[in-house]
Amino acid sequence: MRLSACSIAIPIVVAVILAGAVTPAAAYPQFQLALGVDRCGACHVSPAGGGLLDAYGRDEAGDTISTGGDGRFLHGAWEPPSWFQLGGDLRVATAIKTRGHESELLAFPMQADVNARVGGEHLAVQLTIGVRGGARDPQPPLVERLASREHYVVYQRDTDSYLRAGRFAPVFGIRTPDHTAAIRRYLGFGLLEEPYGIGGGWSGEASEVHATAFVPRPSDVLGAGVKASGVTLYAERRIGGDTAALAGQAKIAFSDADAVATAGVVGKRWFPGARVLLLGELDLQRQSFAGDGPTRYQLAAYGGATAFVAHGWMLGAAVQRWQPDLRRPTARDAVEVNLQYFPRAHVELHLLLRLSGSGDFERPGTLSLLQLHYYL
Amino acid sequence: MKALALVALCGCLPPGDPPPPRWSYLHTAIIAPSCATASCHSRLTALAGLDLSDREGAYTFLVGTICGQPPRPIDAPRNYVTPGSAETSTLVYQLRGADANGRPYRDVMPPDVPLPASEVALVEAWIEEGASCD
Repeated sequence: MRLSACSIAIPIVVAVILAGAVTPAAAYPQFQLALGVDRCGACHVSPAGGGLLDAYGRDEAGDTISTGGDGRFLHGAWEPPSWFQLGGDLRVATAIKTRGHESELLAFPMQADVNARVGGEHLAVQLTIGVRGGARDPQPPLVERLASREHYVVYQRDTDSYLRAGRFAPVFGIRTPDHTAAIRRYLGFGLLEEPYGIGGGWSGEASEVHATAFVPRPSDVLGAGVKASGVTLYAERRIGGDTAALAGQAKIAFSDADAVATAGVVGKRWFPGARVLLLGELDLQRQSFAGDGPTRYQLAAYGGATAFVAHGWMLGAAVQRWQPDLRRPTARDAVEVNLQYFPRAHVELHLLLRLSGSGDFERPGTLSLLQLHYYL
Repeated sequence: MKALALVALCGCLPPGDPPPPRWSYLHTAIIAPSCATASCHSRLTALAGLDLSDREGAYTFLVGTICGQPPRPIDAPRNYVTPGSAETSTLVYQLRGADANGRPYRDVMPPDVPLPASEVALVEAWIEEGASCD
């Protein structure tokens, strides 16, 4: 296939704009079940899902998700050797935030990540590295914003099982790219909070299991969040002829400051006739503070519906809740609408409108965010 | 309906002590998850020169004295926390979104989702009790 001038220019222009930008490169959890694939690993190189797309995922990016185009790396202009897979995520965003009488206009580079996999069929190294984005100034110098969220060695005996060691996001919950979602931010899965660890997983015809044991990052310059050791477990079962998935999950983590035990459920249900996917997650967490500190019980919840309204268009709505102490009437809630448009392979426009607040929205704030996403 | 669900859930929970206005609790329960995120006041980014990621360091940044040590003449007082006086502490204005006279305060924190009133009250109680580092 010939490469058009436009398809060369777009990544270059975006890369230049972004010479100063990272955030999350996760997956689109709505695509599981809705696009005829039963598990995330079907479209991603990582058997745990997320990040770099495999050949099937790239093909789907052109034909199924968007209204056309070539989803291959560099639009098919260059085919990397089989031992080398490369990709990337570039995002720029503009946002208007309001709270009370105050409003704030932001325009910022959001993400500039490169994803690579080097190795053979069974043994490989995977890496995600980029420049951290930032909505507010002053940001640290560019070199200090270099960060690698994931770098690990993975062994795959076959397509159904894997072992990996290094830094990676444990399989847990709905892996939304939105790192500010309550189920990520308040459960220890925020931006650059990926721990170091060893993990493994197995996928079968109708189920999959993933487990991770993790330790704190060796230095604070590598990330953020609580430096804890612990384990996670995620087990998913697909039912109803691959129109529904139900998962149970658990996490136990210990740090100098606290001990946390989390249990939760994740569910997805696809209605093919209406072309609507429902997805939800509910987690309960017990947190004990070090020394003679108290114990509190927390709740994190996410519920949403996404309609595939037309070829290349997704319209979604979601509600979120974070309750830091179930014995007290204290909560942070959010409701949001998402409109995502995939005009061609590699390109996404995403409009997010969110209303959030504490308690019964006693001090509400709004966020209107428009992002342009280009993936290599 | 919401109240019923809350009662059902909370009814199963063992009773607990109210959250203590102590720095060790405040930092772990409120400051770290709400403020020390990767893009804000973490070691990585330290917006406004503030790194609130670890307990002792965050205390020094906010209060202006070294955790566990009495104030020394050479310690320049930060203007975020005035021990014993929540009403003159900038941190409280930022968390409330209003100054001591109730006027809207700029630089409201956190900028995305405000802290619940009960958590702001806990921070105020800690300051009123002397903002110690225990």
